[in-house]
Amino acid sequence: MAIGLAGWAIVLGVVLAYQGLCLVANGDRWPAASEVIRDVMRYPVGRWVLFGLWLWLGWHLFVRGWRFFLRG
Amino acid sequence: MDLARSAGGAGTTGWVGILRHDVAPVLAAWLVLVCGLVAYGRRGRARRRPAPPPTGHPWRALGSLLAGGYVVFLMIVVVFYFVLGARDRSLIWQALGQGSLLTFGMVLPAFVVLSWAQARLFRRRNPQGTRTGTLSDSDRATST
Repeated sequence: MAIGLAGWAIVLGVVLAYQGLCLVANGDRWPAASEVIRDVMRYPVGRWVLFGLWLWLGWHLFVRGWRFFLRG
Repeated sequence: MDLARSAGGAGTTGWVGILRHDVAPVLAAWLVLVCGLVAYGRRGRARRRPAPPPTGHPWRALGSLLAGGYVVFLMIVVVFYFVLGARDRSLIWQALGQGSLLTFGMVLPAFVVLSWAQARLFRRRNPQGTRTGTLSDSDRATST
């Protein structure tokens, strides 16, 4: 299990490092995730998909199989 | 999914289950990401032009966002839980009810309250009512 967790730590570290690089770099050549999401939000379909995914995540994690006081 | 069981000769059922429950959702998520990147790439030249002024009423934009997002949410539940996941049909009714509560009972009031608070804060900072800068792209997008 340690190897699997280390793998995730490495992958997430690379992603965050790439995001940091894109935030520091100028121009469109290295777009940060926030810039991509901002562009996607310009399209109505993009806003619908992002909001739908956000709804799904909240429902899946916190609401699905809801019991009183959120006991799943 | 028990890979050991499927690899031990359980037949195509094991691999079909892996495709339906694991590969399909992950592949779909990857395709959504790629579509976002393609959308960004296609706007390369257009991004350097100033965005047009916002049109339409903000309530219409909010209604469109909530309705469109709710439909996407239901499609996710139907496709990945009911069709691919072979879950019970009652899950769809559960998603309809709980999703409605989440969307229209929680998100809509929160959006209204936060928008009111933002407008009030703006008026407090700009009592003359003039805008000190241009709208951000997301503000323009959500106002149309």
